[in-house]
Amino acid sequence: MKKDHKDHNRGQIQLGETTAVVIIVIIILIIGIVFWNKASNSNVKDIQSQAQELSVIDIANIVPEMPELKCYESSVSKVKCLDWYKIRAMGDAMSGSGGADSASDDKDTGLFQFYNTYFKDTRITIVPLYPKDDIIDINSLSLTDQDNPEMKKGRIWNVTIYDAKSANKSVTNMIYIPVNIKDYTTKKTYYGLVIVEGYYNELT
Amino acid sequence: MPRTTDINDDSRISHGRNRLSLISSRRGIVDVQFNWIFVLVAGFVIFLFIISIVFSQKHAAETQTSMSAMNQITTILQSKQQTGDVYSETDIPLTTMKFTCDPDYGLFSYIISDGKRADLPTTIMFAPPEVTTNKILIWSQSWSAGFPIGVFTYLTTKDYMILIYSTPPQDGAQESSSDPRGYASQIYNDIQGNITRKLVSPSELQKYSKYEHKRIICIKGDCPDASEAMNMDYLMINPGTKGLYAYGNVTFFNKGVADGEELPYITKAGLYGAVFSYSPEFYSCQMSRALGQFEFKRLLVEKRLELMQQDIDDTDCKNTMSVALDRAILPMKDPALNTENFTSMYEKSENLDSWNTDLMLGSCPKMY
Repeated sequence: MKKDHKDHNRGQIQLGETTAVVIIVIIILIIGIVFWNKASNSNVKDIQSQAQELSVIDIANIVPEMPELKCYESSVSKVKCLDWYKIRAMGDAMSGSGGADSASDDKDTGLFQFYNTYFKDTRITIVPLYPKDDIIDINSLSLTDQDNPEMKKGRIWNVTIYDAKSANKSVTNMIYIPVNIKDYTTKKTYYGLVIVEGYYNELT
Repeated sequence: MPRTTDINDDSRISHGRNRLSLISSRRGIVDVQFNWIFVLVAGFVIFLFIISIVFSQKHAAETQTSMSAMNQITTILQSKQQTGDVYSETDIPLTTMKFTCDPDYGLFSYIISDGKRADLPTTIMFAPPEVTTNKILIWSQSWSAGFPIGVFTYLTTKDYMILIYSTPPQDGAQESSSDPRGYASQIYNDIQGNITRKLVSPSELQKYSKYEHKRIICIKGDCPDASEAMNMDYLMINPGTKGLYAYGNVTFFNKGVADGEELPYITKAGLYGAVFSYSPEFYSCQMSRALGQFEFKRLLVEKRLELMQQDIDDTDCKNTMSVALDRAILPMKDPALNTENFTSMYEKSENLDSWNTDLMLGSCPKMY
């Protein structure tokens, strides 16, 4: 009678053991899957953030090499030199096409779309820095002065040539590239910077 | 009686023991069976899990490989649009590439063998519809209309042969650079030497009739006759009055069809675009995209001239710029793909070059 009772108990323990093993195996599997998932997610985030940085660097390197902006002398391009009037022309054309400095949010125009394939989600600003005597920041002028051609003449201020700003994106990366800026009307060369700011969705 | 009772009790007890022992032994069987079933089920689940991981990793590796091949090809194709008149041969993994150009949306893309697609939004490229190769040959030409617009790239492989049709001169006849034979020789000499091309006489043409990827190029006035023409695709070039590389028309003739489709071309870059295109639809789609890019570049030149005019004091410089703007830059707005427009574009681009030289000689800033 006692032996039978023992057998019965052993049967219960064996069944309990098996169930425990099943539960432990399932828990280990779940922990493994969760860990793997987290590890691959963090890897994706790293790659994404690295890609964003690289993309801004790539774009910053493209800008001084674009024939639309480069200086040419006797049909030969000059290294790291931007033509001031090409910069202003692009800024003007883009602002008329819903791009840089545009009041409208219409970014569907061909010109903006065309340069979007090169510049993607960035803002590109050209800033002349030296010599200072000729440089006037447009923001420091009164509205009347900004429209006065005499004030504009021969003066230089920051020009945003492209801006793909959108409400749901924020600036995460910024790259500066030093360049020469040539004004062919005054034949003066300025030292300046190309500033490329990347707009990206926040990484969560 | 009590003895009988004892006997009965003993037998009942013994019977009970036997029953318990039987139940216990059955539970043992159930336990053992359950363990085996559990081992089988759990083993199968774990096996499936491992297999799924292996397959997902394999799929990821394949995707990564094809993406890396695609990125490599895309980078190669895009990098060639930077400089004109450059030839390069590039080894790639053996791949089938299909090139498509959507005329409605102006989208140019290529698809590699496993169905992956890459867009080339700014590249103007002329290529066969499909190539299977491990080596691509790329040649490029700058395209300008006075001011630089871009670079046309031409993609081909060693398997694609360009046959330039030219009737040998009759005894004593002199070959002139502006007659069909002169133009045929010019095309033969100007196509980059490593691209498979042959100058063929009518008698030699039959030798290549069974060659799968051939492209026959002829100049109007010296093209295969109707019987030969019906057996093959060919491109007939009809240069305009200003020479082979100014402007003109090209007619795409398809095998077995007597009437071809005529389209205009402009400059050397445009002419070779037609030579390396295997259908009028592809050529016209790429030229329409190129004209779209022309309009953007024209707009930038227009804006630059307007800004410079405001800031320049010299009246002569101002006047030349104003003339260039009014007579060339503004009238070239929104160009269309037709012969009349291409002729006018070419003439205006020549004028622009001349005005630009005038500006340079007058110590004025150049227009481009």
